[in-house]
Amino acid sequence: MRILATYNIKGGVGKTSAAVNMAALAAGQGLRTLLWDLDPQGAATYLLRVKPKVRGGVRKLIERRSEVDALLKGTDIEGLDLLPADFSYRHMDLALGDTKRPEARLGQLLGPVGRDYDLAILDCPPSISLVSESVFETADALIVPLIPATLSVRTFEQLVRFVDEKVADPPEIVAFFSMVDRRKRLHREVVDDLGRRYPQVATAAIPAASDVERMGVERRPVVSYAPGSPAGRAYAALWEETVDRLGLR
Amino acid sequence: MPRLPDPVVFAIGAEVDESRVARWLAGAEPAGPARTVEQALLDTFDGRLYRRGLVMWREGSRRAPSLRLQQAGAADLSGRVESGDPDRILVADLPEGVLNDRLADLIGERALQPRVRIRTRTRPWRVCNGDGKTVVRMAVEEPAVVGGRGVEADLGRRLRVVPVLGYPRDMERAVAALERRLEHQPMPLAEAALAAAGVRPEGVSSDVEVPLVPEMRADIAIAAICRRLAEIVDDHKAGVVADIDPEFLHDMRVAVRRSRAVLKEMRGVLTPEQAARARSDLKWIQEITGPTRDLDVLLHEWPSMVEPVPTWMGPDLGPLLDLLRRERAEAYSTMRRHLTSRRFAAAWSAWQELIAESAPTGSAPTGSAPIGPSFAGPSFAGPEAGRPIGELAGRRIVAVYRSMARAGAAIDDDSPPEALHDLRKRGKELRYLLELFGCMWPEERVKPLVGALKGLQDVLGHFQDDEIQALELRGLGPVLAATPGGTDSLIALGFVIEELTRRQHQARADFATRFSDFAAPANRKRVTGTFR
Repeated sequence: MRILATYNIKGGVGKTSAAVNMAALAAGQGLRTLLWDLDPQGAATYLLRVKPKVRGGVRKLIERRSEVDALLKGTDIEGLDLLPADFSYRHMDLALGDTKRPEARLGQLLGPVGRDYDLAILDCPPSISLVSESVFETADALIVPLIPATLSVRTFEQLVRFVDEKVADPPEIVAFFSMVDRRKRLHREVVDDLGRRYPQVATAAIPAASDVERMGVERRPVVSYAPGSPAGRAYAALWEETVDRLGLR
Repeated sequence: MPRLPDPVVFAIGAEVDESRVARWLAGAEPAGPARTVEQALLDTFDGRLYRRGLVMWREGSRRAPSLRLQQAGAADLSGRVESGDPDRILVADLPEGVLNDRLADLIGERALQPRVRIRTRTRPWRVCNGDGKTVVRMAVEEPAVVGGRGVEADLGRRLRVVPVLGYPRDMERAVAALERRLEHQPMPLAEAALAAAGVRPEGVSSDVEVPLVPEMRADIAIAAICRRLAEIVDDHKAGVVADIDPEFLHDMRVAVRRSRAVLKEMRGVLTPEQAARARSDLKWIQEITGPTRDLDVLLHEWPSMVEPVPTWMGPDLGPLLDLLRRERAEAYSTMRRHLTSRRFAAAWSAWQELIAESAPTGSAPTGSAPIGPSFAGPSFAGPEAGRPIGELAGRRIVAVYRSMARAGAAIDDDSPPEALHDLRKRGKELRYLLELFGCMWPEERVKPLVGALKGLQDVLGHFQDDEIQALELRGLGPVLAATPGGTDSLIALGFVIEELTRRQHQARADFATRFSDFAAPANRKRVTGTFR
């Protein structure tokens, strides 16, 4: 099982939208896919119409007193299962902190279902914490959405440095621009500049589009209800590029 | 995916309108437009998946079909095939991953081929909870067996109810509601399709399994065995000619070799004239199929043979492998020409005529009942035709065992390789005698002997195969030298031949131990005490 994680220290940059759409595209291509909503806000769980509830809460899960496969929920998309969010995930840091090797724990939890899936996508909460460090240790690749603003360039550079310096076996990084409005000169400049300077930045970019915002109403991935829209096509292109870059085929 | 309970399938008559389902189940609604799905049920020629309780469906486009393996008590496995012929899928064509892991050892060199094709019109339904979330999946399916002339058999309308992970109670409720109105569909789709198409699900076996009793007349027993062996050849010949997979040729050759062994060991049952043509024809069939088989074995062994070649020299082996494949293609083409020739047809029909049952001759020979209601014997007219088969076969088993024990004991470190090759040949004959006639004696007496013989034959087989392969590869040297990149390939070939020579030495070193097991006093006693 390959593990990807959508991550950015900032919130509201398109992590969950990317996670849900990429998971749906992967399942549609026949990959047995698991999406783990690690964010206590439970947006991915909401979008897939599942109740944000994990029996026993985060502590039981982290202490491995809950069987992960008993917590999984099938989604409306065939081939895509969800390990839902739970509001108690807000204490995941504390629960991880009480374990012996917190950075290895998320990987250990996924171990028993590793043969059941080809791909796991972790939708991370926006922060830098023990949870994210454990994600960095576990994931084969980080999928990093960036909004086209000067500050997000700085954030991206910090992330690349952190991963290289602090993570024993650093995951690959695939960054992409999200919420791009090509009518804005600043957006165009930032996208072009960072794309030139960093090979990790994907060519595909997700536009700022009402189709993406509509996910909250539809409670489905864009690629399910508007696959031919610019946003739907952009997610498909991003997924294909990710597959190629990471050799997921 | 994690294990889910199996879907529940109901029979749903044509008179039941789909919209009634919505009334029976709260929250049921159509989940998309109806579509038509083409599927092929795949299995090997000898039904290896069926025998393990596995069902493999091929779906989607022929260019990149997807495969779905259903197994009782486990989640479905799926994968996409992106190379090769979709009607002849080999392990090498399966995508790496769980599907490959599950099937590689089971199907080995056999190809997965369509056993039956079905076309299903399917309309998806679902049951939703209050959040509009799918908690049960359903489909109204109308499957039919299709062939070259379109729909050949209607398989009945079905309502398939599929659980969704994490929602077991919703599934229970839906099934309970449907059980009040509908009957369960008694036959799984794969089974129903095979039955409707008249296809044997267990495939075609290469087992001989002719029931014998010791008192049966030798001519009747021998002819029955030879007819079964000829049937195996007939079953496999089309697959050999179409080059479906290497096992067709292997099984066909084993059947011919067994027939030859029977003729040799039971020579008194036929007249010398009867035996002479048959032995010469069967020998010819073995000869025309030999080169292709040798190259099949060589190509199969290739990955292990090239293991000792340093990784950096790996690409140098390319021209050699290409050459082997070309040689194999040429050998196959020659073999195919022979197998479809008039000479083959004449030889085969003469053999079938010889072993055919002739008209009933009157009195029933003792103990002939297990073969069938007819007491007709073949036209075998040798001096031992009327002797009881138990006596004849037992005598031959003892004689061959003894001759092997003598020949093996005479082999030492200085013996030429031919001595081991001859011993292997005799070993094959003993093995065939035990396999074909062993059913007349208690299994617990025969089995240990077969085990010891197999151990010895494995070593002798390695010894001879490694030598043949080394010779074959050496023979390619001059051709290889003349091909582009051939010089580097020749150097790499040196490593391969060295490995084969090392293996052959190892086999020779193992010989003494295996032979002493085979010729141990316990086995000698077992042979004389059982078969004499």
